[in-house]
Amino acid sequence: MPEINIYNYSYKYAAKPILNKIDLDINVNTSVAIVGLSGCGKSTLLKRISGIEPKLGFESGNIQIDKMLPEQYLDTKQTSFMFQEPTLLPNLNVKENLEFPLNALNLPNNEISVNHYLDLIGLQDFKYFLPNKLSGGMKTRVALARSFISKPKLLLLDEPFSSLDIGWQIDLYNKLNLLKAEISSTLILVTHNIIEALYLCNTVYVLGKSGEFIQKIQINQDLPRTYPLKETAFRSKIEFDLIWQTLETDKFQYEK
Amino acid sequence: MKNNNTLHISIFVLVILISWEIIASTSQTFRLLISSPTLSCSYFFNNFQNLSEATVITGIEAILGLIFGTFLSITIMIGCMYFPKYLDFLLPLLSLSQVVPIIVLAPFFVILFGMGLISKIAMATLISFFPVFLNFATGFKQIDPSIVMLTNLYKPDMKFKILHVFFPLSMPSFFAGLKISANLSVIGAIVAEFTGANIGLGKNLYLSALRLDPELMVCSLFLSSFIGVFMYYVIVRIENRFVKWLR
Repeated sequence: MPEINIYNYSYKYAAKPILNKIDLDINVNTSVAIVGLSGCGKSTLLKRISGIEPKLGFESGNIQIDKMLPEQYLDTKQTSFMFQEPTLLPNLNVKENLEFPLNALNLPNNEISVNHYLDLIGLQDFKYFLPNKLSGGMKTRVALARSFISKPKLLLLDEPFSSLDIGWQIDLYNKLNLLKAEISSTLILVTHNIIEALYLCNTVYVLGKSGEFIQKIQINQDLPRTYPLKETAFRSKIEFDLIWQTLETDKFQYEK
Repeated sequence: MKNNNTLHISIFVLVILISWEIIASTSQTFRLLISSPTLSCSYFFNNFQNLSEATVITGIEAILGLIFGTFLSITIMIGCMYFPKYLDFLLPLLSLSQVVPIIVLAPFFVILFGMGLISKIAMATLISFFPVFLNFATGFKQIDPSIVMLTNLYKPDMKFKILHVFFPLSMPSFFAGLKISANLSVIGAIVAEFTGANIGLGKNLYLSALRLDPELMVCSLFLSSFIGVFMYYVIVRIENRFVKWLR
C-alpha cells in the first residue's frame, strides 16, 4: 500500500510542456481518479508514475512512491498496470493469460487461486479459449483479473473500460469492486468518464489542458459503493456538475 | 467444395501432361527441346539409382543449409534480443548486403571448401539465412509495445521474456521467412553444384545442357522441385504446431 507524493513535477516532450508543476499526494489504500480532456497528459502522468516507459522527455521535480523513484518501486514488483486495450497475449488461452503474471514473477502457480479468479470474472467455461475467440468485454475482464492476480500494492488503470458499452461497464465495475475487496492497494484510475470516476474513487482530480490540476473533489462515501451505477448521478450531482463545468471551461479556454 | 477443387486441379494437370505428350510426339525438334512425359518416366525408372542418389545428396545439402541458416539467424536474434541496439545496427547493414546477388559467391565457396558437400551447404546456409533473419527481426520489432511493457512490469529475466513473449509472438513472421528460405536453399545448393560437384541434381542439370539430354533435365527439374515441396510441407506441418493460435 504505497503512498504517492508528487512535488512540483513538470514534464516536457519535444519542447512541448505536457505536465506543468503538478503537486499530488495520494494516501495509502485510497482510490484516486484523474479526469481530463483527451490530450491533456493524464495517460503520460500515469505512465510516469508507473515507470514502465523509458523516459523520452525532459522532467523536473520528483515523483516518490513509498520514498522511492518510480523505477525503483517497479523493481519491488508490486505494480500492476491495465492498458487501454486488453493486451492479452494472443498465443495463450484465458487460463494461461491469467497465469502469465505468476509465471513472470516466479510465484507459485496456484491452481486454486487461478480458478478462484476465473470464477470471479465468470469465465470458468471459457478458460481454454484463445483471446481472438472472446468478445471485447470478456477480454477486458481477463485483463482486469490478470492485473489483480499478482496481488499488487499499486494499481494503475489507464482508461481500461472506455471502449465498452454501458452494460459491460456496469458489469466490470462490479468485478473491479469484488477484486478490490480482496486486496488492499492504492488505485489510480485515469478516465474521461465522470460517472466512472465518481462511482469508483474517493478523490477526483481534474487535469486541465495546461497540464495543471484545476480541481480536486473529495467524495464522502465509503468504498466500495454498493448502490447501482445510475444512482451516482443523483447522489453526487453537485460533484458531477462541478467537474462538468470545469471541463467545459477548460475546453472553451483551450479553443480560444 | 474442397473435393471439387482437387478434381479440377487433377483434370488441369492431366490436360497439360497430355498436350505435352502430343506436342512432343509431333516433331523431333520438340522432343529434343522438352522431352515427353513417357520418355522422362522411362528414363527415371531406368536410372533410378543415379537419380535418387543425386536427389538425396542435393536434398541433404539444401536441408542442412536451411537448418544451419535458421540456427544462425536464431542465434543472432537471441543476441539482438539481449542487446536491442545491435539490431538497429545490423538490420540496415543486412538489408544493404541483400543488394549483392548471393549466388555469385558460389564459385568462391567452391574454391574455399572444395568440391565436396561443404561448399554447397555453405552456399545454401548463406542464401537461406537472410529471409529467415529479416522476417524474424521484423516480427520481433512488430510485437505490440504494450505487451512488452506489460511483461516489463513484472521484471522477469531475459530467458522468460525470450521464451514466453519474444519467440512465440514473432513466430508467424519467422515461419513466413522460413518458407521463402525453403525454396531458396534448394536454389543455393543447385547453383553451387553448377560450379563444380561430383554428384547432385545441379551437376545433372549442367550435364543435361552439355549433352543435349532433355530426359535428364526434366527428371532433375521435377526431383529438385520435389525437394522444395517436401521441405515446404515439413515447415507447414511444424508451423501448424507452433502457431496454432493464429488460426
